[in-house]
Amino acid sequence: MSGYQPQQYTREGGLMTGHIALLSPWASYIDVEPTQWRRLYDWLLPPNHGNNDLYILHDQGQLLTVNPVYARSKFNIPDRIENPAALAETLYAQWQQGTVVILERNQYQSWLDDIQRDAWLPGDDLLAYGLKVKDCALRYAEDGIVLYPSPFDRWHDVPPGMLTSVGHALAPDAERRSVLFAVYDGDVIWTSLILGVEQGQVQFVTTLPADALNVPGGNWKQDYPRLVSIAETLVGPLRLGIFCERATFESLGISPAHWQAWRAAQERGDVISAPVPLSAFKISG
Amino acid sequence: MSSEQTVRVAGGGLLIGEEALPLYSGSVHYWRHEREHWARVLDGVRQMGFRFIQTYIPWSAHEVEQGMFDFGQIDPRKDVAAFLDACAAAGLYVLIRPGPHINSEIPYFGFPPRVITDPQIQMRTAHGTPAVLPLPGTPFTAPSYASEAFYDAVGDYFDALAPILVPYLYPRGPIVAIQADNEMSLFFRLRCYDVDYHPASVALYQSWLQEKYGSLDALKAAYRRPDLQRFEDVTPPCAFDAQKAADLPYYVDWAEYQEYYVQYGIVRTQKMLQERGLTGVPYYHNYPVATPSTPFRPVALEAELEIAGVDAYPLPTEYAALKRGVTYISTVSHLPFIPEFGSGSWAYYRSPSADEERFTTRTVFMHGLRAINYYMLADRDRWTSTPIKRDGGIRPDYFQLYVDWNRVLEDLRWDTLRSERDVLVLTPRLYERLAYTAIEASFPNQFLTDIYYRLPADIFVSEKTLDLRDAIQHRAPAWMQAFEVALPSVGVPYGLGDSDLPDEALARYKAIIVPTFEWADAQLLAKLERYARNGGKVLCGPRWPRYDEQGQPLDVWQDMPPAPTSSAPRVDFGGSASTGLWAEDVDLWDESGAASLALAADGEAPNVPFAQRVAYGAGSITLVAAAFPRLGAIENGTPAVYAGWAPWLKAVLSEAGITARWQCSNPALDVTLLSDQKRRLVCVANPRQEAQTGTLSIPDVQSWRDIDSPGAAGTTTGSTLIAQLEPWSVKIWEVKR
Repeated sequence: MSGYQPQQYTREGGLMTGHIALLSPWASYIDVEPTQWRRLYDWLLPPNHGNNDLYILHDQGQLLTVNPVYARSKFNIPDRIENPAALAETLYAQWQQGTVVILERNQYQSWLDDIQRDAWLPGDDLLAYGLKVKDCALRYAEDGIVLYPSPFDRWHDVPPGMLTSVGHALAPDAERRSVLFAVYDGDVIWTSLILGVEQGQVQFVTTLPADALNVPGGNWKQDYPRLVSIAETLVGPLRLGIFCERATFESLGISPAHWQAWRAAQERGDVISAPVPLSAFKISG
Repeated sequence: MSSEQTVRVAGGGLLIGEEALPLYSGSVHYWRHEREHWARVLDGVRQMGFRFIQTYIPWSAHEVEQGMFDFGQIDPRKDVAAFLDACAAAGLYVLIRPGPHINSEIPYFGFPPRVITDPQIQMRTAHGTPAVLPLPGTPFTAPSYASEAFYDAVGDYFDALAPILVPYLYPRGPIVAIQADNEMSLFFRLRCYDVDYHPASVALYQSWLQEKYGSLDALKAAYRRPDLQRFEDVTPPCAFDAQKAADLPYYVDWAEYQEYYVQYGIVRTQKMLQERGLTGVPYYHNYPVATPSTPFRPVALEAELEIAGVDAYPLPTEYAALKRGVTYISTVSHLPFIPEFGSGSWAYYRSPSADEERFTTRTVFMHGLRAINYYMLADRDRWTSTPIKRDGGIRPDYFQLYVDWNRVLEDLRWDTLRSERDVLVLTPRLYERLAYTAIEASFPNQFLTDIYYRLPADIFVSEKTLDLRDAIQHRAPAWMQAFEVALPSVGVPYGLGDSDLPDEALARYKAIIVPTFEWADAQLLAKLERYARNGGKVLCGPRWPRYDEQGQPLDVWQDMPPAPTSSAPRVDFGGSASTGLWAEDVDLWDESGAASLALAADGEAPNVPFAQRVAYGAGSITLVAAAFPRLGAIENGTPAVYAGWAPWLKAVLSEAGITARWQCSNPALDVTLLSDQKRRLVCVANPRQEAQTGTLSIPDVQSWRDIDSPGAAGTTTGSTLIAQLEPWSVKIWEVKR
């Protein structure tokens, strides 16, 4: 067993992969423009587009199955697994396609049983529930559920954290509760999000409408006030608008941990915010 | 069917009074649109060429508190009667889906919280804990469809709802079909030892055992349990602990019971609605996936209600699974119908583009689908990328997609077309139940984390052979795959069915391909023997069956091939040793053994030393005694690799009187033929991300008309065509003989 310490279960913080909780599991989604949504999805979740992982199932070290099957002979996977963590790291270097997952059948089943006995409480919100699942998995992380590299490491970097944090920062303001996020790509809007925030939570999600996507003149630094006007027509006064080019967006990433990087980018002129600077918000990572 | 039936399933759609209409429909959720937008939304649906819409009726949205309902008295959007009036005014027929389960991306799948928090109602895991579904945004406990308390609660809801709906049944109103419950699947927790261990379900299981075996003595013999005193002594298994084949009946019965449980819930819901006056129109259901596997049983379900449909939310990369699912349902169903076909997507999934939807839509129709409901046609909360926005405005690219495709369907009278198929690939349900049963761990579902989501389907399937020669749970699907993938490469189209199909359905095919092993389903074998004796050709393998499911010697298939002269651990069919197709554990009837497995000179069928034909009446049963590598055992398991054994497959098929309907130079292209008495279509799919070109020859074709390029520019003469296809595309030609 690993040196596992239970976590506090709160609604904040990342635990779910974006595939489940993209943006917010509670928000309403209203007339989202498909192309912008698809681009956002593709950018956020490329690992989920295909299953390229290598799976090994064993019973107290005795190999049971390997998926895909051909990997067993190709990589000379032994019939006896003595050190799953070391084997996972070695195979990862050979496999070169995705994560290596080594599951000990009894411990994996125990994890599933733990979840069903201890974690699956009616009325839990999904994030709290997911955190319990993660904690349960960590109990078996040493030799029962081995993933290399671990997807748990990625869970800190999921989008709901930033959005929820932004929501908390905006919550005290009763009148201006909407957020616009727009990414330019040349003379078009590549993707956007408009978020309605109440009580610190994202309540609804939409995008700029299709007829707003062409950028007159092609200069994003002159165009952004137009988007503010469009968004405010849709959802009322904006608390915050954030604008940048696609290359900036892709280099910064959206995570609470990256908030300082966004502020630095704004100081360089690569990011514009309106009506107030990003420094007006204290976002914890 | 009663004489009061005013709407019937007929041909490729519904016979409504005297009007026969193909069933092309789309979903609109009335309570999710402002009422003033209803007319504009419905008008958009009509403009796209649809004559039907489908809507859920959400229990939790209408029940204000226990015993009190809002059907528009409080919130005008919930006035379902007014919405049905609006549909009738727009010239639309309606398919209603009153649940009680509706999913619909709303909290608790449409169940009122008081229902799913009732301990008497909650579905149970093998540990006795409530079965919670980890779904956005709030996990909830699923109800048990064996619980009488659950049906009591549902009855109260139906009591309130039915009087509103009955006056709108055709011919007095626009309701022409009713869906009984929704995506029955133990709430997606499709693992053998996961749920439903609710006491009422265990009691139902025991009564089902009694019905199946008839007497306690029969059960004691089947289970080899002389200690049993009564049926109630049998408790369901919680893990797979079988050590030998004789142990299997106890486990596969639990799988078969889950099939029964699913159907029990669907049929009981249907009867509850019928008892409240909702009669005279067809009932249908939508399984969540289209596979011939536990717990889904469409042939049996269609003995109880009119249509067993399947749902599909495909992306282009999922072509192979989509093709297989549609091929299956188009083989076994009276009306091959997808009641939910992805149009747009739920909010936390990737939205398909209009081009991607064009590809997947054409894919399902080319493989035999005849009726469809697009889910959704109009945007609403938690759903994006549909042709109609919530206020009735349109998204031009998606909107035009449906306008154009509905016109194609109408012009070509697609509802009258049938797939040209000579061969039936048949799945024994016994082996599917074994694969469902023989697992090393039982995990809840795929909706949660990376660990769940990414797990390959067969990672937990046991490799135990028990005391048999083969691990049937792996080798049965692998054997079928070798045929399913290779048949198109030799120009032979096939249907995909299961052992529930009746004799008359089997008789439509010239040949049946079916996996068999020592341990087999005696009833299926008897059916196949009748088929053979009446002139049919059965291709089976890799083993000749010897014992029934209870381990008793068979009294069918008594004429058997001679003992093999030798065997080979592996026979290669070409390609490199690591990436080409091979057979393993092969029996041979040739003194020269595997060495005789060589391609013959051009034009000559090769010797097939691993096959033996046995005459049965006017037909035959041919044993193909070669196991094929497990799924995933070939590093590059593409159709081109499986085409490696095409020459031997052609020889085996030729022996059975099956010849190619087409020749295509590019195995990446997938071909189907559809026809009726007036017209014939050739459909070609490119399910790859690279453009593909192939030379396609169909002997009895004289001219080809590209339906996307009307006029002379789209017409080609002769029996051969060079097909050029863009990535992820389907082209369709109307051909003349």
